[in-house]
Order: sequence, then C-alpha cells, then structure tokens
Amino acid sequence: MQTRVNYLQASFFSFLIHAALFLYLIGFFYSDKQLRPILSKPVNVSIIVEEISAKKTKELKTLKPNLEKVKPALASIKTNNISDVPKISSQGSITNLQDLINQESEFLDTSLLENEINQFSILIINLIEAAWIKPKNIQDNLICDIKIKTNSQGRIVDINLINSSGNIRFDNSALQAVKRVETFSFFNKITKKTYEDVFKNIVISFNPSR
Amino acid sequence: MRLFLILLLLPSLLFAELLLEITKGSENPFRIAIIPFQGTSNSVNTIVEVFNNDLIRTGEFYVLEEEMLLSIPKTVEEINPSEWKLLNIDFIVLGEVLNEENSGLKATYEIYDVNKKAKIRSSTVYGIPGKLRQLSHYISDGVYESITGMKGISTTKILYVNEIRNNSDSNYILYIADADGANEQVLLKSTEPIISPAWSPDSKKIAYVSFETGMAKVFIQDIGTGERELVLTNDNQISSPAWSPDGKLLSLTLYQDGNAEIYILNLKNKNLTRLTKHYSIDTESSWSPNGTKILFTSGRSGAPQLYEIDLTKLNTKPSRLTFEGNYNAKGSYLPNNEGIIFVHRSSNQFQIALKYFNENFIRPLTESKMDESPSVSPNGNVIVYAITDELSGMIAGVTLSGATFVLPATNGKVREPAWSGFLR
Amino acid sequence: MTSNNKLIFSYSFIGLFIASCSSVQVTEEAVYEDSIQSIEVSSKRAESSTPTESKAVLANATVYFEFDSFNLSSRSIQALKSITMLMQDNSEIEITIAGHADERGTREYNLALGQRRAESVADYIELKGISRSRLTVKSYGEEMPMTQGSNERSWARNRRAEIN
Repeated sequence: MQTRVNYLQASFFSFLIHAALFLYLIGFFYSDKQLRPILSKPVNVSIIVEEISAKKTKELKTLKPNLEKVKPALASIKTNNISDVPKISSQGSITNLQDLINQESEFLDTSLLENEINQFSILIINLIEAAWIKPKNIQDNLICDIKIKTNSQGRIVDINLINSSGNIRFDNSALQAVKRVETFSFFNKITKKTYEDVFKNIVISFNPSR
Repeated sequence: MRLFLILLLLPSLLFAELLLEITKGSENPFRIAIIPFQGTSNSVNTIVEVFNNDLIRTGEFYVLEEEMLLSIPKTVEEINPSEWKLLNIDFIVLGEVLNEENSGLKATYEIYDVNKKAKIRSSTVYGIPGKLRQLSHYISDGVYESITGMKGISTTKILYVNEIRNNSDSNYILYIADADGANEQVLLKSTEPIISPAWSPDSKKIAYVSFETGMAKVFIQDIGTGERELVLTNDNQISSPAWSPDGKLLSLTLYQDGNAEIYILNLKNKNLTRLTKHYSIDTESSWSPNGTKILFTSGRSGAPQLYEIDLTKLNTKPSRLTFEGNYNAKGSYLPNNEGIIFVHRSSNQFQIALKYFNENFIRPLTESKMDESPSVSPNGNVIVYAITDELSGMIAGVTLSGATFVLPATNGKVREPAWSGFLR
Repeated sequence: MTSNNKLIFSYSFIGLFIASCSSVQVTEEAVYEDSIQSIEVSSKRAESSTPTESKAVLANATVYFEFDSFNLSSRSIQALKSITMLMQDNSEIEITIAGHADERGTREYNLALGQRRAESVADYIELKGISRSRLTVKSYGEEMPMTQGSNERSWARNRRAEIN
C-alpha cells in the first residue's frame, strides 16, 4: 500500500514539474513585474551610427524631434560625474544617497539593456544572413526593406516588403531568407518588456553593397 | 564580422521600430538531396532524372549525387538532420509515385528543411497516364517555388524552327517542345522558310512569318486546332510579329513604304496604326510587360541599335537605349520591366547581352561567336538563344544566376527559340 | 503504468507544441496539357510570265552589296543597264527583284536589309522610266544563301539582289 502512495506522489510531482516547464515555455509566468525597477525616465540609449544612407537620413529626420527630447536627458546622465552628484552631507542625508544609487543603477541597467538588445539583434542578423541566397547579375547598391512582426515565441507572423530594391530577384531572395528563418527560437530568453518595446516590430534592411 | 546596428528607442508613447541591416548572404546555390522516389522503378527513374535536370538547369540548385546519399529515409520522420548537415545539405525531397491501371498516375512528395529540422511542404500531383515527364515538371516547379519563392518554368514550352537540308532542298519545321527540349512536336512543316515565331500572351496561339506564298507574310495559328489565318493581305511583305500583352494588338513590320516600318494591327477591326516614320530600317518590335512601350531595332543612327517608343506619347521621338557596340538588335523586355535582353556585337562577335534600365552599361551573358535570337523565360531568370556555326545550329540557355546549358541536339539547324508564358 | 503514461502525455503535449512551430505548405494539383495540331504546307510560287528568250538574259542578273549596305555600286549599275534596256523594249516583261543578306546579324534585320537592297535596284530601274507596277520587290533575308559558309567570301556572295 505504502509504495503505491509513494509512486502516486512521485508521479504527481513529476507532472507538476512538466506542467510548469510547459507553462514556462508558453510564457505563462511572464508579467509586467520584472526583475528591473520601473524606469521613471525614458530609456536613454546611445545611438551607434557609422554611416547613414539617404533613406535612413530621411527616416531619422522624421524621428529627429523625438530624438532631441531624448538627447538632453541622455546628456544629463552622461555628463554626470562624481563632482556633480549631490554630495552626501555630514548628516548623511539618505535621500541624496538614494538618488545617487538610483541614478547609478539606472545607468547600469541601461547598458545591460543595450547589451541584451545588441546580443539578440546579432543573433537575428546571423540567422537571416545564413539563410539569404543572394542573386547574381544584379545591379550595385540595391537595398530593400522588409518589415516583420513577431510573436513572443519568436515566430514571424507578418512579413511586408516596405521598400523594393527595384529588382524583383533581389526582393524575392530577401523575402525568402526571412521566410526561411521563420522563427527566432531564442525569444524565450528575451524579457517580455524588451520584446514588446524592441523585438515585436523589426525592419530588416538588405544592403549588401555596404 | 562587422555589425551595423541602428537602435532607435523612443519614449514608450511613440511607436518604436528596431532596424537591423543585413550585409552578407551566400552566393552559392541551394543544396538539395533528392531521395529516390518510391514506386515502380521505370516511372521513378524517369521522374527523378527529369526532376534532377530541371533543377540543375535553373542554375540555382546543387543536387547531391545519388552515390553521396548517406541514407535513404522513407519518411520525413526517418530523417536525421545532423547527418545531412554534415553534407551541408539544405533541403531533402522525398516522394512516391503511383502508376496504377485503375487509379491513374499520381505522385506525392515532401520537402524537408534541414536547417529548420522540419517539413515545409507536402504535395500531391495527379498526372496524365503515360506522361511521366509532365508529372516530373510539376514536381520540379513545386520544389523550385517552395525553396526560391519564384515561379518555376519547368512546365513551360518553347517554339523553334529547324531547317533540314536534302541536297539543294530544305524543309523548314516549326516545333513546339517542353522547356527542356523534350517532347518535340511539329506545328508547321513547309518547303519554304519560316522565321520569327512568337507566342500569344495566353500561349494558345502563335504568330510567325512564312514564305510559302512567295514572299514573307505573317500567319497566326491556333496551337490546339491548327487553324491558320493571314493577319493582313496586301501586295507587300509583312514580318516581325509581336503580340501586345493583352493579346488584342499585333505589332508588325510592313514594307509598303519602301523600307521597313513598324505598324500596330488591331486584331479585331484590322485597323493599322503607323509607329515609325523614318527612311532607315525599323523592325523587330517587342512590347513592354505593361503594354505601354515598344522596343525596336532601328538603323537610323547608321547601324542597328535599340530604340523605345512610348505608346502614350506617340508624337515624341523614339528614345535610343543602346550606345555600346555597333550592332544591337532583337531586343525584348525582362518580364518585370527591369531591363532588356538583346543581341549585341562587340569586336565581331555576336553575343546575348542584358542591360538594366538603371545602369548605363551592357552586361554580356554569353561567350560564343554567333549567338542570336534570345528569348527570356516568363519568370525572368533564364534566357534561351540560338548558337550557330557553319554546320549546325543549337539551342542553348543561360541563367541570370550564371549557369549554362544546351538543349539536346536535333538533326538540322535549329534556331529562333521563343519561350511561352506560364502554363500552370 | 500510470506514471509513465502521465510522462508520455506531458512530453507529447510539449512535443506537439514544438512541432507546430513551423508552417507546412500543402498543395494538390493535376497536370494539364493542351492538344497540339500539326500542319503541313507546300509552297505556291507564282509562275513567271516572261518569254523564254529574255529569260536567258535575266538568268544571270545579280547585283552585290557591301556589309550592312544597300547602295548600288557603279559596277551594279552597269549590270542593271542591260535589264532596263530589255524592259524598255519589251513592255510586257515583269520582273521580281529578290534581296538577300549574309547570315550575320538577326534574321528580321537581314530581311529588312534584303528588302532595302531590292528596293535600291527597283528605284534605279524606275528612274529609267520603267513603271513600278512591273516590278515585284521582295526579300529573303539570310534564308536563301547562295553559298553556305561562314567566311567573308561566302558572305560577300550572299549579299545580293537577284532578278528573275
């Protein structure tokens, strides 16, 4: 009798573990309450730009007013050095210290976030580059832009050619590369907020002349 | 590996989009393994051979040799992806052919993506008993389309003229054949020359020039019924027929003005509209894919060059398109209106060339000395043309992806291939 | 055993989910082929109505041209003189002038070139007072070469206008 009970218990726990695994996979446990504190200011991220083509400049121009808002905030954090930080008075004012700690941790989180986004972006780019068979005998300087929408599991649920290169074989090869990849399986490692903010809508620009 | 990454993260109120740039890709063909189909061996052998050749002729596939197959999985579940990754294979095709008396001819096939480790396509094709090649072509097109995303041309047809000499006499035959040169059938047999075969846009009729009445005249023939009609009756020659994309008009070269001039004939009411008015030779008209422009060869600059007339602006002078070389002729448009292909002569060699509209130079595609009459496939990826030398003429092909092929040689001098539209 | 069953159930649950991660394209179609009709024609050449006597004079009338050209050389004009005289004397004589080209270049352009050559001959004859209605002008382009051969000698012999 006793052994049977043990078996029941064991199998029940085993079931729990498997159910938990399963539910984790489908994102049941993700919620807005994340590990990081909610940022009170807009997230400031350094913009890495080497060379911007005419098209991108246009895009950037339309988004410039918003960038302007971000830059001063960015500037304010970047130029903060130790001397600007409110000194802790001899009374050991806790609020100031707290501000200092908050600002530092915000700054750290920003870089962490940056790295995370970089990392996953690199993964996405690698996957697509491995799947892209470029056509031959095409003109130079062809660029086509494809906008994709992903779901939280990394599956591409919508593909749209938003900017044609003018060469149908080129456009087609790019679309085919995206379709071939179909799913970014590592999306389960991306936090839900980052997914919503960054990886839900992606524009992929094919520019082999770079 | 250089990484170009532009991050635009805006306040969460605004719509944010991550922009990623792809700068590298592979220029190698897709690597595919075709597992010998299951079924009665005769059918299977023909099907796999035809299918194999169809894919190779597109220039976009590398098909693994049968001897290199590490295993023969019977179902998708039996596939071990890591094994195929060793051979660097991207896709595997498995299939089965049923050739029964009662249930007819049927093939089923599946495509497995080795990198994704999953099946990406499952298809059934019902064939016509006895027509194994047709069935294979449907399979090739299905596989081609799934993997490349472009429409396949294995199921299309070509026209060409063959001249067979017996002593001093010649017989001229206009043939229709599969895109791989097989299944040749006679459309017209004549003792007088036949030139310039052309397809109607629905690929059900053909137009050609025949000398059977004593001089060049243009006929339209229905492929299925064999009905023929002279497009125009007058005392002069008529040649160089080309159908408008909507099938309602036929551009022609008429000689009634003392030299070759291009006219457009309305097939319904037989109205003629004159397009060129120049004392030089104007011929070889060809329509743009949307039917608004006509490309033609003109000798007006002193030597044959390609010109374009905008049909919506008939009063303006034709614009010249070719400036390199001293002979550019027999031009036609790429199906997506990105450029033209034509015969180009440079340093005494006639070659087939491509010119994109947004480039100002010519891209030669072939290398022999006497290449003529290029015709592009309906998906814009392959061009067939005739190679002639002293003894024979053959049909060869070149793909924009850089592959070349020659169609099986027939007796006689084969020339003037013309590619049909999509038939599937 | 119950525990195994539960395990299998939960594994297959996950398994099913993972398998549905990529899409499969399922198609079905039937081969379709049109019928093809074959036609045979024989030539219907018009009979020549010239009296036999004059045919002997005309039989050798061929005029030659330079590459890509339809200009009559002085030699050609000399050759044409006898024909024009014959036609001036015999008003019933009608002739056919057939232009040809060598094999280089495209067929249609060569057809037009042959035509232009024939026209040059016809223009000259007309200038000499012969009515145009007595002339039939046509071209065979590169289709009826006098000589087979891919060399300048053969080509030169093929660039011609024949008068019958």
